[in-house]
Amino acid sequence: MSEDIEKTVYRHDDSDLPPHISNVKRFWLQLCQNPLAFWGLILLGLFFLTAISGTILTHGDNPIMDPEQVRLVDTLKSPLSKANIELLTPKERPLFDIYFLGTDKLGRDVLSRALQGAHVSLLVGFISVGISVLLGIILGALAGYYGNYVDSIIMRAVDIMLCFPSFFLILTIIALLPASIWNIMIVIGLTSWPGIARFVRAEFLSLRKQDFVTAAEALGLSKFRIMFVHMVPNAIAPVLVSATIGVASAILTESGLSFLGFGVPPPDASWGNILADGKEFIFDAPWLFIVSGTAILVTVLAFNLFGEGLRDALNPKLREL
Amino acid sequence: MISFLGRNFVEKLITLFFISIISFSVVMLAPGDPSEIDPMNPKFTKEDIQRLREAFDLDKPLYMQYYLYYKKLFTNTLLSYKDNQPVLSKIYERFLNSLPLFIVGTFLTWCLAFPLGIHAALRRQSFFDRSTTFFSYFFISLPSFFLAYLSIIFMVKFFNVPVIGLATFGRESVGIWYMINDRIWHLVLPSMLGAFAGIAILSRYVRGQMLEVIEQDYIRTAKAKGLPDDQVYYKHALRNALLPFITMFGLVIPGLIGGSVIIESIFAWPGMGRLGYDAILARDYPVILSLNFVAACLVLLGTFVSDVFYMAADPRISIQDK
Amino acid sequence: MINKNNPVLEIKDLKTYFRTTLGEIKAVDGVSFTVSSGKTLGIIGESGCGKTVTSLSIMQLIKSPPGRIAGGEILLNGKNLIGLPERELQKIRGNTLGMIFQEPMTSLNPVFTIGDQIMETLITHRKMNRSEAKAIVLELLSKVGIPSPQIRINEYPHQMSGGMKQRVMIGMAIACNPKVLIADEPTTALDVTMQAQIINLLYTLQNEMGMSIVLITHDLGVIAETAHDVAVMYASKIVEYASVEDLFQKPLHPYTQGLFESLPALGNRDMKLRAIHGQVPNPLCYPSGCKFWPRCPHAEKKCREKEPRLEKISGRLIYCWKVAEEKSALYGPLFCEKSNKKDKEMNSDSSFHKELLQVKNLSKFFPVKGGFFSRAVGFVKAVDGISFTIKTGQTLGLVGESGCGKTTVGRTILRLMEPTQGEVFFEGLPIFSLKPKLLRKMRQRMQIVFQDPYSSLNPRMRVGEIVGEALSNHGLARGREVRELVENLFTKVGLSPSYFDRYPHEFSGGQRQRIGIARALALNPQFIVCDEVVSALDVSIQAQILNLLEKLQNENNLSYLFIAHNLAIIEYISHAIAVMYLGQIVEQLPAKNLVKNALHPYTKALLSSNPVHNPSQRGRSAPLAGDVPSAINLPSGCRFHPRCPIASKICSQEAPNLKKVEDNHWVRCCLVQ
Repeated sequence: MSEDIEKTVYRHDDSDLPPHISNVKRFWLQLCQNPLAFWGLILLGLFFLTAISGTILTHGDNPIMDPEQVRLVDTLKSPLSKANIELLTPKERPLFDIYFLGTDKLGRDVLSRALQGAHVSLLVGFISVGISVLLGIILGALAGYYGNYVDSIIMRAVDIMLCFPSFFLILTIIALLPASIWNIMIVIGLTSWPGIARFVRAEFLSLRKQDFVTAAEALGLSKFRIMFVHMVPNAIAPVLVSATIGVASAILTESGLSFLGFGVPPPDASWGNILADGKEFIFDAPWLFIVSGTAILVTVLAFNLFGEGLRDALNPKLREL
Repeated sequence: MISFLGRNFVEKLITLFFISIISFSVVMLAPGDPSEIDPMNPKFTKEDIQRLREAFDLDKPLYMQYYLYYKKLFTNTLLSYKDNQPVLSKIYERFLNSLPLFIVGTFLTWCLAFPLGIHAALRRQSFFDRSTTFFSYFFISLPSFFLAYLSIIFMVKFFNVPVIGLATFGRESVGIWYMINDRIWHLVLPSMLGAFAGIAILSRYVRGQMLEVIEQDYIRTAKAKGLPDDQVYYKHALRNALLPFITMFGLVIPGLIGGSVIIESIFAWPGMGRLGYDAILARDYPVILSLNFVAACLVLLGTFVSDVFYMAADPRISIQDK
Repeated sequence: MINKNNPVLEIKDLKTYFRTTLGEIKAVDGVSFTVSSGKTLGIIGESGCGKTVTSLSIMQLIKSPPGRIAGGEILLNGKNLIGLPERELQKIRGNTLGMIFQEPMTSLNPVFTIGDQIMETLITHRKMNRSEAKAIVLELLSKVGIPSPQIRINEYPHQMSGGMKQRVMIGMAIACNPKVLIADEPTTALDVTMQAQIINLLYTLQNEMGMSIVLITHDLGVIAETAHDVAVMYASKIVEYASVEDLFQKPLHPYTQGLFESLPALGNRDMKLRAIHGQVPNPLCYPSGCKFWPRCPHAEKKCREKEPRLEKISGRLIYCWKVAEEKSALYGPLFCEKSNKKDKEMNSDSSFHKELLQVKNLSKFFPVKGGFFSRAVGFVKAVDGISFTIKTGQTLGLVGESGCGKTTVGRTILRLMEPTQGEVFFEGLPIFSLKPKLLRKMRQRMQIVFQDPYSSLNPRMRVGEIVGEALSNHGLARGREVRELVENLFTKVGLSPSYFDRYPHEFSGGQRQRIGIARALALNPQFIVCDEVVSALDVSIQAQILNLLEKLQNENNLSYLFIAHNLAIIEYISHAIAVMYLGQIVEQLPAKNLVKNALHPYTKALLSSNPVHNPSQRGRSAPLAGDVPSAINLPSGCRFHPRCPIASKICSQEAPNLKKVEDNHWVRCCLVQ
């Protein structure tokens, strides 16, 4: 009799488990429920395509579309106008002999400049956020895991960083350093980690109390393994969200810097400096202003919307349902 | 209670000390010796470095540099490169100019963001919620300089109202009413532009906070008591949802300078942001460094004040630490 | 017979559904019951069976979306609540329908005083002014047993203990003399002694005020002590509905029978628990036919195909066509069996078992920070001078209320926390002075299983990795071997080896607990700390896990330190029992002597606080009054004296030591000779 029961008690079959749904599919379902996030994702896709094609088309010694080509015969041409083929050397002629988005005061093709700008924005957004995410995760993890003095020191550093008005601090540092796009990325990265460190620390503090971390300690796993293999993957969700939104704000910061004349040094184009150039010709050549402004707006919007969608899709509370 | 305040104050003093070190050591980023100048760097010439070395006593040992800099700053003998005026008085004057812009902006932000956020949270997924969500993102993503130019064109073209500067130049003697009217026009547009992004961000926070609070068990209790909806949401939920925003108050102060650099430069508003921008253009290092320091001090003061308010507002804190 | 006279609240065919991304969940699916005036209806069931949703549906507090009431009637005094406008409902809630919730900790608004929160109800429904309301609130507070109400009325929820908060909640719910009080797991979050107090309070209030109560719980004992009628819920349906006497005399439905048989009862430790196998089905994929058939020992083909209806048999309702046809229970008398624990008991006192673990004078203090420099201004003496030994192949049960330091003991022994004082020897090796490298090696021999099956598994790792990680990390196996070993472990703990690549969130609580046990077993330890391993689980799953732990002990000669707050479970699984109160062991004795020979007044109080499964004994007064004191300001003398029913003058002056009263029996009490 008792053996019988034993058998039934420990009987097992797969049908005990609920239907298997992979995490990716669940995530996708959540994302699709939020129309704003969905459109954000589509816009992001377009942005990546533009930025990558921008990199391909405008780089190299002899680019297909040269954003730096000055054509004094074709200044401030309106969009879709034909190039002045008779007066241009073959090298100066734009792709298809048409200025799709017009030209600026030096006769440079706005489309190719905007494409290069997309490339710059992508670079700035991802590298600076990469730096801040890396710093934020490491410092936040250390603070949250070790607590005590380590935590006090790191959190004091965060408090201090948060006291400085970040945009002005960036301006200050950029003004002291030699102008280069790399310096901009590093400075934006180094000034925007505190937010992420705070998130990671908060996650770590709650993870620290969870039993699976204690279990890992009881199994004699190393601290490094516990922190970076067990805890970080569980703390990554809010980081992803704030990183996505961080890319948006890095792009915005860069364009602000460029607008004020401290961004990407000429002759390289960025959306910010196209816009700054355009403001002088706001009535004569509004396209300069509108193209670059809209490009910034749409890209930043896409990142922000997608970030918010991620927040919902990764939210464990919503996932329960 | 006193010990809580005291500890908080001491902590803030320590933070202030580190802030002073950091805002001073930013100058170290510049090449320290004329011989180190990169000939490709147009920002520094030999003369620039010489001037920098003098102003910041770069020949002395580090701690002396630090001491002398802050001694000069606080005795108001640190002079601006540009016009040889004492830096601290300059900053103070510009601070007073920025203040109205900041106050109006903050007022607009807080007055609009809260009703919007609360409304959106209570009518989740409604048309109102969806449209405020979209417009928040729109305004968060809209570069302020882009919006500023668009609205200047709009105002000047359609209303024919001058908006650049503190007041319209050359009309000082046209009567008090006109003056006030003119001033207000000049004030409203820049502060509104500054506020747009703030409203958008803050209303999102308020919405999120409110949504979280109305999921709590005690809201269910309040409903189970049969309280009317208004009482459930505007008494029980709101009070809990608003608590965290008291601490946020301190963090809006960076906007006083950082966020206003662009707006103030576009509108030629002689405030702190504009001062900073001009100083950077003119490489007026004493002003730049001091401005960073002063701004950080203001933020610190703001967080201290909001900590005190928070303590007063949340029964859980004030009583435990009494 | 079910009480149907003077119905106050009638639920007819209630259906509440929730819409989710993965489909519609029928959380309550055609539930009907009647609550008579002045009587208590108990609803019992395991988690996820729809009892809470039922209670919230009655209050019309279902969040919509995603939830909606899809059908049925809720008749309060003959008036249907479904479809009433919100304004009308607000007049009923808190007025004629009161409700208390499971979590007193989070159910009160933290920023208002408790006085304000109770007054609000009176002001809203009775249109009183503040001073009138205040007078009534003071009265209410003393009625629900809150000492010095004049002071308490101005306090905030965080200043009160859990039991006090639950009293406040009750006061709030009965402020307007409701006709019906709905109590959703009102004692689940509380300790046993507090549970006994709250049950007693509800009982007295009902007698005084004559209200009807709908009491929802998962605890058969609570039902026996309070309910007049009982509805047993399983998978969104009522499976058995009977008067409490009928039900406790003879449960008819196989599920109800299973519930009774999976529960250890005090003094019955030789019985073997008979667990219901499997688990509560996921509401997204309920089985076809009878909802219980996959777990039912009597299931046949017809059960899978045809869904039974509630049928009437001898004054009760049963959701099982087989029982209805046979007109009697299917299994005869309750299934009892002598456990094979017995033969082990024989030599439990002899020297047959070696001493495996010795704990000597262990203390762990946590500093309380405060003041200007946040120095330690005091200590929480979580564990204060504890000694015991555990022998090979035996279980020591450590029992006590929450906050008594039992969890800290478990973690400090394994050096997951650094001790303040004391020594632990594992096979003669001093654990506390081991170097990190040796300690790492020692970890292979002593492991831990946790209470919360949800937080104890890393949600981002596959369960196979979770179990196998330590094997490769300690260099015990690599590559293919790990997988084989893990699959063996899975089989050993009753899981399918095919689960290797699944993630924790796909499993139910009981299955996760099995995974946790497999992880602890992976390194082949000799000693396992079981920290409240079954307290988060449903009754039927509890029994499965207890049986599994016993089986593993017998097979591998394991030793356990079994930590729990439930005395019946402790008595069932342990060989020796240590009772903790405020950081100290107050009594230690062999498990078989617990019921007969317990001497310490606290142990006795715990024994009699444990709800009995006998409806005829209801209404007894709670054995212990008051709350556990804070571990920061310990009482002088004997720590138990403020609550002790037999305390004399000496108890407040003299701190007693642990005295040996007979072999293997120690007591810490001045009055016990």
